[in-house]
Amino acid sequence: MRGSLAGPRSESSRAAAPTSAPVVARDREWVDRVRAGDVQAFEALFRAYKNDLGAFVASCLRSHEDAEEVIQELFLHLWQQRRVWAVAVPLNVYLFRAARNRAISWLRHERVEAAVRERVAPGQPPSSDEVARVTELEDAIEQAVSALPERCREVFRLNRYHHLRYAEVAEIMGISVKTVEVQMGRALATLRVRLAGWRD
Amino acid sequence: MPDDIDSFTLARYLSGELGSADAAQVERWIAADGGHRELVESLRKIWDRGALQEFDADDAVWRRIAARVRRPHAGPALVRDGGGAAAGRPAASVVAWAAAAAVLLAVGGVTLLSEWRDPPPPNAMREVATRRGQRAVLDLPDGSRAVLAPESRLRFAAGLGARRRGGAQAARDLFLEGEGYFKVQHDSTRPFRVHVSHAVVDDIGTEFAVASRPEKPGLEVVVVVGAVTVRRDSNAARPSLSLSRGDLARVVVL
Repeated sequence: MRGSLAGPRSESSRAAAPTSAPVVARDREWVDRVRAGDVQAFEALFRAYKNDLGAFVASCLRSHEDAEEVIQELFLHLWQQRRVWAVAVPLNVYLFRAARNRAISWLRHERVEAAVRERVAPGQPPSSDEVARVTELEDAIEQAVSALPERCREVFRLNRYHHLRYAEVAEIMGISVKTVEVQMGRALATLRVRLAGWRD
Repeated sequence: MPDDIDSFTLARYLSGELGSADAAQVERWIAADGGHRELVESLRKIWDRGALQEFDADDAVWRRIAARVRRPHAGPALVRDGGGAAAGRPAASVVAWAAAAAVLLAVGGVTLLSEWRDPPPPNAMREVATRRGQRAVLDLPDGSRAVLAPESRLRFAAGLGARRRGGAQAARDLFLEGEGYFKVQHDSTRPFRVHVSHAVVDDIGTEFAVASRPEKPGLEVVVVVGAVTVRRDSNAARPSLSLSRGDLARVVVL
């Protein structure tokens, strides 16, 4: 640990490192039991991952409610297909990738909806976004992160908020590790500039 | 000693992705100058802050999953039509509603109101009716899915599309009053037909919505995926109209 230079981390709010050995063993057992139809294992697995996955999907869809729907569909499908469920990568990577794919499909449907709605009632004003008044550093950071380019933001969130390693992020998004490095570098450069005024 | 560490390397360092030799080099750079240290510490604040909002899935999500896990052939799930959730969508237009359904059920709280006790005999007709403010999501026996708008009614054979003894394929006939959205399981041997009061919408493996209300003449059809044809009735040989993806039409069948 790069001890003295690291700022204080709120360990209590962080889940166990996703690829640590006990977690890997726990996940492996859950997968085996779910494949065999064990509902309790399925529920435990669901409860362990629902919030992390939900947060990720919610950030993609900008909707808590839609995220719940996506997560529900994901786990239901998983259960229905349990007998043929094959997990080749770490479970968290598998789940994030599945969640991401579903979120992308959801967004694609949303665009169809918007296009059809335009045809029905063209020129309807878009729903108004509230102009955020940034008064706290926390909000400033949140806003700066939200303003990152889409892909960059996604990479940043997966690495920083969901504690996924560069290699795992690459796997989830179907991009190279090099691309992940580039995006993270861009995020840092952008946030550094954006938040320069806040540094005391 | 470089004057500045590039953003990519710094990002890798902060994310713990640098090997020990490279990390040590960054740390030497940090130690060399108070300004470097300040920069890194302020970047740490951003880097390690974590998400501002926690996501907490409602317990209802598990209950909905559990209901389906325990009763895989459960009957239709009735859905409360959350006005708030549909904010921004024009309420009256069936097309907008159908498009909303194309997102496949962006709806609020689900309550499983009825469950079938035993599977009914295949010839028995099932009927689902919704009241004002309710929507229903049905997983049909053939693998298709239907969503019923408020104040609508759908009837279909319990053994929808089941193969009859002797190999004869049953067409999949559904009878709709009101508005419904259908995501059809593809099967070219078993036409999927939605009957409304004066017309029949034929479909083969697509997604579409139909609205037929007594107060408005004719019917409205929106096709989201694939294609449908509209005929005057089951006996009409030629379709009056063919619609495909992205089409919406108000059809008055004379």
